Formats: sequence, C-alpha cells, structure tokens
Amino acid sequence: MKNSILLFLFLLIPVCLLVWFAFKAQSNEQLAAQQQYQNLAHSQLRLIDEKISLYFQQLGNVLITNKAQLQPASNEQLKQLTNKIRQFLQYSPYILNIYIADEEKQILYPSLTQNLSAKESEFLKDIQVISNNSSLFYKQKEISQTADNRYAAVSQKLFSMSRSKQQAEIQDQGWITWYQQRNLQHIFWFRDTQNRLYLLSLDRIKILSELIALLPDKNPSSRSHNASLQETSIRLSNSNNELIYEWGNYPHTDKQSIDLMLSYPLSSWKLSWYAKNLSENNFQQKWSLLIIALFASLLMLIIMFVFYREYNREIRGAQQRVNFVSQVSHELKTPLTNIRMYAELLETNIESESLTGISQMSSQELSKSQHFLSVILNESQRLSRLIENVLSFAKVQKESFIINKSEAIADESINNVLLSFKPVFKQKKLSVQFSANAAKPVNIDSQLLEQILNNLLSNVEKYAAHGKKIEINSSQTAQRIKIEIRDYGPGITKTEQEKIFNAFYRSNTKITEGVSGTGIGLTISQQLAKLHGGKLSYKNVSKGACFIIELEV
Amino acid sequence: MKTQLLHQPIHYKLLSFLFIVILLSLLQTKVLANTTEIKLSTNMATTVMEADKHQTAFLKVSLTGFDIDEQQTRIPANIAIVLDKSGSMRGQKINYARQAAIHAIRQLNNNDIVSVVTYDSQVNVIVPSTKVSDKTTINRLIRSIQADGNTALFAGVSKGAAELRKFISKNKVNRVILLSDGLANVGPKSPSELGQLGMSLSREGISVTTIGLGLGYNEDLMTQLAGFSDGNHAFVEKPSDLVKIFQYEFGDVLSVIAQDVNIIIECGENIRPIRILGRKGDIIGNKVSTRMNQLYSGQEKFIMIEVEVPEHHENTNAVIATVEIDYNNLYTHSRYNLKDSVSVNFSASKKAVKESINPQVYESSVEQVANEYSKQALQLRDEGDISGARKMLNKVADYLQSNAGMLSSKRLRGQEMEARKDADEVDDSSNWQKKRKVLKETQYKRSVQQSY
Repeated sequence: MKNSILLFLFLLIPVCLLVWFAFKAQSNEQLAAQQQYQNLAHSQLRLIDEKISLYFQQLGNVLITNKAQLQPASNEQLKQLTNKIRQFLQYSPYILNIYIADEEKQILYPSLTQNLSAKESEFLKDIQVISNNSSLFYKQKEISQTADNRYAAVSQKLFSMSRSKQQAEIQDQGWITWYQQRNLQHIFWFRDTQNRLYLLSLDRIKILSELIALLPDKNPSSRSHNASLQETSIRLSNSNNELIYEWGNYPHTDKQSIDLMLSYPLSSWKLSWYAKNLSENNFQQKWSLLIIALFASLLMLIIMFVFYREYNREIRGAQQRVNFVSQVSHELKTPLTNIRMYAELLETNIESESLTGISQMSSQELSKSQHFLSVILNESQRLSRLIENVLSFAKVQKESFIINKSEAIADESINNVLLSFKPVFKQKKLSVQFSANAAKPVNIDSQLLEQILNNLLSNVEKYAAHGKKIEINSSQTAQRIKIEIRDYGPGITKTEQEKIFNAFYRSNTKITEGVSGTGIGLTISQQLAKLHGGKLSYKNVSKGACFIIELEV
Repeated sequence: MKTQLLHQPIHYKLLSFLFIVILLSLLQTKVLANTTEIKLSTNMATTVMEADKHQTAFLKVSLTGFDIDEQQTRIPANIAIVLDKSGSMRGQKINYARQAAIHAIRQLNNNDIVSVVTYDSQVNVIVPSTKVSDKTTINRLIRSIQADGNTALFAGVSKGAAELRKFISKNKVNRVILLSDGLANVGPKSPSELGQLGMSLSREGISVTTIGLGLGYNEDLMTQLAGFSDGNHAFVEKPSDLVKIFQYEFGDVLSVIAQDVNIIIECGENIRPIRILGRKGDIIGNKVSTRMNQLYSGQEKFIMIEVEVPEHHENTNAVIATVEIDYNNLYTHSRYNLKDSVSVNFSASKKAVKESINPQVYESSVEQVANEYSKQALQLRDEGDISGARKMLNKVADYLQSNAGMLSSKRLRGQEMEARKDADEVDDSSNWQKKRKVLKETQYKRSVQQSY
C-alpha cells in the first residue's frame, strides 16, 4: 500500500511538473511574444510617425522657399503687395491664406486698407486669436510648458536640420495647430530678418490627401520590405477619433489595438495597429502546448504503468521460482528425514529383537514396527508423488510428456490412490465416501489419472483435513470419465479460483499458512488432464471445494 | 475699328476695306490650316444699354478650343480610374464598371498613362500608373476587382491623384475618373471637404470627373468635387450605361487642347461685378479671377458675370471690362496670353437697346440665370419648402418662356419644358432621390457647359 502511494507520487509529481512547466513556458513565451509583438508594432507605427513628421519637415522647407515671393520689397505699396500675394495664393497648392505683420504688428496683408474678399476678411477675423497671441512666436520652450490652450499649441520642434543659406535668413519658424469647426488646421509661421511675421494657413484637405498618398495602400504584401505587415491593418484616426485612413489586410471586427499618438504637429492624431495575433491571442498556440504536455504525461503514465506491471510480473515470477526451488528442497527433505528416522528406529527395533530372540518380539513392539513402516511407506509415496509431479511438469514444459493409454478401470485407480492415502486420512481422521460408477474398463492412462488424484487428495489432506469428509463421485459415459472430488474444508475464494491453476502460485491466505507446498500440483494436474484430452475444473459449492476431473476415453 | 473706318475718306475706306478682306481671307486660310489659338470673345447681352439708369447687365467671356486636325498627334493622357468597389457595388454594377474601364482603356495608346485604383474601406492600387502598352495585363487586373466593404472615397481619390503625380506633366491631360455608388463613410465625407480636395487637385492641374452610379451616392459631394476641380459629372442610373459614359469621358479627355487657363476680368471704372453665374471664382473689388483646368477641342466654355452699371448719360460709352487670359497650349507647349475688352453705348431709346441684343449671349445669360434659380429651387426643396420650390421653378419656366419667345430660341424652350416638368415632379417624394440627382447633374452640366 505504502509502496503504491510512493509509486503513485513518483509518477504524479513529474507529470504535474511537466504540465506546470509547459504551462509556465507557454505563458512566458506568450508574454514574450506579446511583448515582442508590441515592440514590433510600435516600431512600425513609429516608422510611420517618422514618415509623417518628415513630411511636415519637408513641407516646412518647401513653404520657407516662398519667403522671397511673399516678402514686401522695399518701398512697396500695400496695394502692390496685396496683389502680389493674391496672385501667389491663386497658384499656391498648399497655402489657403496668408497673414503678414511687420515688427510693429502692423498688418501688411490682408490689410483692411485694401478691398478684401469675403474669404480674406473672414480669415483675418479667425487668425486674430493666434496673431494677437504673440507669445506663440517667442520663447517657445517656456510657452510650451504652459500651453494647454485648446486652440493653439506650440511646436517645440525647431527643425534641427542643417540650415541652408536661405534658412539662415529666417529667424524662427514653427508649426501652430488650431481647431476650426472641429477640424485640425495647420499654420506654418516664420519670421524674416526684418522681424516680420508670416502666418501661412495651410489647406488641411491637401495635407490630408498627401498624407494618404504617402501611406501604403491595402496590399503591402506586394512590397517586400513590408512583409511583416501581413495579417495586420493600421488605422489613422483624427482627434475626434474618426477614421481617416486605413490600410493592411486584417479585417478587424474587434476593438483591441496597439496605439501610438502621432508627434507634433499631428499630436492629437492616433495610429492604431490591429492584428490577428493581438486579438485571437494565439488561442491554438496557447492550448496546443498544454495539450501536448497533457498528452505526453498521459503517454508517460501508460508507459510507466506497463513497465510497472511487467516488472511486477517479473518479480513475482522470479520469487515464485525461488520459492519453488526452496519448497521442492524442503518437500524432498521432510519425507527423506522421516524415512531415515523411521528406518533407523525400525533398525534399532530389529537389532534389539535379534538380541532378545525372534519370538520374543511383543505385540506392542510389532505394532510399533508396523507404524514405522507405514510412515516410511507414506513418506516415500509422498516423495515419489512429488518427484513425479516435478518430472511431469518438466516434461510438459518441454512438451515431451508421453501418454500411455491402456485398458484400465477408473474406479480401480481411485481405489489404488485411496488405499495409498488411507493411513494419512486415518491419521487426520478424514472419512472417505466413494460412490464408484466407473467400473467399465476404458482406454486411459491410469498412471496419469492416479497422479491427478494424488495431487487433489494430497491437497485435501493438506488444506481441508478439518472438514473431516471427502466425497468422491465417479461416473462414466462412452466418451468420458468424470470424477468429482469434494471436501468440506474452507473452500477457495472467487479471486483465488482464477489463479490456483497458475504455475508456482500458492494462494496467500490463512489456509496455506504453515502448510508447505510447491505450487505446481494443480498446474500439473490440469496440464495432464488437458494432454489427455480432458480437463480439470473447479466447481463452486456451498461449503468446501469441489474439483472435477474429466478425461476423454 | 469700325468707328475709325467711318471717319476716313471714301476711297481710303474702300481700299482699306479690300485690304482687310484680303488680309482676313488670308488669315482665315492660315487659321484653318493650323489654328492653335483659343478663341476668346467677350460680349455683353446688349451692346447698347439704357441711359440714365442704374442697372445690371450680363457679361459673357467665352473661350472656344480650336479644332484638331486628324493628322495631329493626340495629347497624351494621364488618367487614374478610381472605382468604388464597396459592398453596394456587388453584382451588375461592378461588372459593368469593370467593362466600362476596360472598354475605355481601349481608346488609349502607348503614349498614355493609366492607373486603376479601387477603394472600399481601404484603398487598393490595382494598376499602378503605367504606360498603356500591355492592355491584356491591365484588363486582367481590372477583371480581378471584386466588390466588398465600405466607402473610403476621399482616400481613393487621394491615391488616384498620387498615381497621377508619378507622371504628372503640364503637357499631359491629368484626370481622375471617379466612379461611386455610395456615400463616403471613411475619412473626410462632407461635400465641402471633397470640394476643397477638388480645388487643391485642380491647382496641381488635376481634374476629377465624378460618375455617380445608381441612387445611393451623394450628388452634392460628387458635383462639388467635380466642380472645384473642373471635371465632368454624370449621373448614371443603369449600370449598363457605364460603358457609354466612360467612352464619352475618355473622348472628352482625349480632346483637351489647353490647360491651366487663368481668366482675369477687370471691370471698368465704377462698374462692379456682382456674381459669377455657374462657376467658381474670386471677386475682389472690381476684379474677377477664375480658372479652368482645361479647354476641349471645338467646345465653347464661358463665364457669365453679372455686373452693376451705374447711370450713364446718353450717347456715351463705357468700357465694361477688360479680359485677360493665359493658358498652356498643349500643342505648342507654351503659354499664351490673350486680351480682350468690351464696351457698351448708352442710349435713351429702348428700341436701340432691343436691337442691339446679341442673341447668343442673351440666350446664355438667360440659361445661366434660370439655372441659378433652379439651384435655388433645389435648395428650397431641400429645406422642405416644396411649394416654394415649385413656385420658383414655375417662375423660372415663365422667365424662360418669355425670353425664348423673344429670342425664338429652341434651347430656351427646351429648358422651359424641363423647368415645367421639374415643377410638376418636385413634390413626388417617392421619386425625389432620383430626381434630385438628375437636377444636380443638369444644373452642373449647364454651369460648366459639359459636352455630354
């Protein structure tokens, strides 16, 4: 019991460990994969963000080049300047409106002294929020720290790019974003060397259109460098969380995404990364490892169980063989000792008799001698039975047992055997009831039959002597002889019944305690019966045990 | 010139007359052989105006593209076909759209560049801009288009424009042809935003032609986009008509002779421009500036401006406006500059005024004014004022009727019939969706003198 618990633990612990490790490894791997994935996604998104930032940087550079065209020439009249700028605006692809003010904050364009178009006056009105807030264009860093103005935020990003000659003439430049009717608008501003301020209000639709043109289309897989984008899709959404553009080929229906806020001047916009791995979370992968672990442990259990059984059988077999040898030696030794002892006693009896004269042997002495002789006979019979059993067992094993069938009467064989057991039975006070109904001579191996009977009766003598009674019933048909031997001993339990015919098996119960035996008696008897074309079987009876010998004629 | 001639002695008159006739005939032959100039004419509805009256008048600036010789090589086109392949296009629609694109591309040759972009919720560049040399591959790619998904119209047009930019050239006709049957629902989606996109594209020399298919699209958005980029617009009810419309459109594209046309109209002293009829433009002070992306061979495009003319004394004349245009001639690859001016005389006699009517200009002005009223009627209908809309349309019809009678113009008569029909149908709410698309289309075509 203790052993089996140990064994069970021995089995269970590694299995549990295996499963646990698998699970742990799985979740670790998943975590790592997720992390890696997030990093990948973030780096991809950051690349896009950089692309967009670069776009704005380049746009700024392009816009700066307009300075020469916008700058008021010396002594230029406002009217001329206005015309010049209007003309410029007509062709400018990016700039919708321009605001120019000189150092004294005098508005040069759109100047109220000129005839303004509806568009220009509206712009002038709108831009005042920004143009009046001169702090937007000075001391940028300080401002940016306190700038939580909903309408305007300041670019801290002064372009660190190496400044060209033309840019050297620019004192300062930057982006301002503001909201107009819920839409993010961009203003690019710069100052020239005369400290004039230029505000260029840009066409947000144009910028948006160009950004979209810049971003990949649906099938990035056709472009090799974007292979990692397969099974993903990326969304660009604006500050109102409205979808602006998306690409990639993952049809997302879920909400899980990896997000990245864009950098200035699109800082309220967002890039979202959707992917299969993200939402479905490797369901298969997650379970597959666990299933494999479970399966492996199950397999391990089975293998261990098989090995355990095999090992047990081996152990049992070996033990039985060892037992067998020791028991056979013991069995051989006991009758021999008895035979020797009684033979010696008989010798001393005869010696004393020869000393006192033959005729003087008292009846008491005589009966003693007879008893000694009967014991010697009994024991030698037992010995020969044992040897016979061992020999026939060996022969049957080697398949060299020969059956000698001859004309014989079954009842006679039974009587012969009973006769040989008579002294023992008498000694153990066992009465025998023999109803003989097989008196016709038939063609059988009487020696074989007697061996079987010997084994059965010796078992009764050994284990069921206190039942006090043996019933033997013989019957005969044209084809077979049937002999029932029944005792009134303890009987054989159901589980034992299956095993009693196994070689070297000795039932491990109270019955066999203190009784020696080899454990091959029933085995050899059954084998012999089979060889004879019959069988030896056990029959359940209410009390005691009943064996039935059937032999073919 | 006429007045000058009148003051010359009689023999001089004759001589110079002959001389002019000869010169003109010479010129005529030369012009016929190789006309590569756009015809600019600036006219008033009446060359004589009532004196001592504060009034408004219509000024027509018309530009007519020269005819192309059969021998002349065609101007290469750079076309992006942008197809809506959203779920609603499934079945017949996408089938005909594919066919239409394939048929239309047949008209192109090795010098042309085409790209095909489809969009649903995402944009897919099916054919990146390429020379039309391997039509089988292009056709195969077009046939692979399947309908599915949402409508990212803005992104589709943006990508189409991006494909055009790869080969954009002042000497090519750069055109996005957009086909959509649904409402834009991804990205910018309002008509004004798409109009703004059209405007910015037009500044790059790209026009967007919008073809609305079925009854599901937003006609305001589509006309705005086409209007601001100076493209065409068409309403196609039956998918089977797509092939035809694409043919027309490609025909139009392939007959472009000039691009990037800037028009500046400066009104004379004390004369104030009030509005531009039909087209978009800026009015700053007494200056009207507008532009057209292109002019087509043999087609007349015009701008109608209503101007306010203050009182003038009898027998005086006044310069109403000087017009200056410049454009890029695709055949000579150079910019041209044309100038013209128009003046009127003032007379006390109403008869003189009536006799001075220029029927074509007058007709155009009536047509455009009626068209503006029709637009207002549509707006009233949109606001739910059905009876007001009907009243307006009936007024338009009456206005057209009286002018048609005066000018005995079949065209105006036709327009009148149209207006009467519109008035009848304006409260038919079951059919309004379609009616509105038809109205929008007609108004648009009238405003920009679309050829088909």
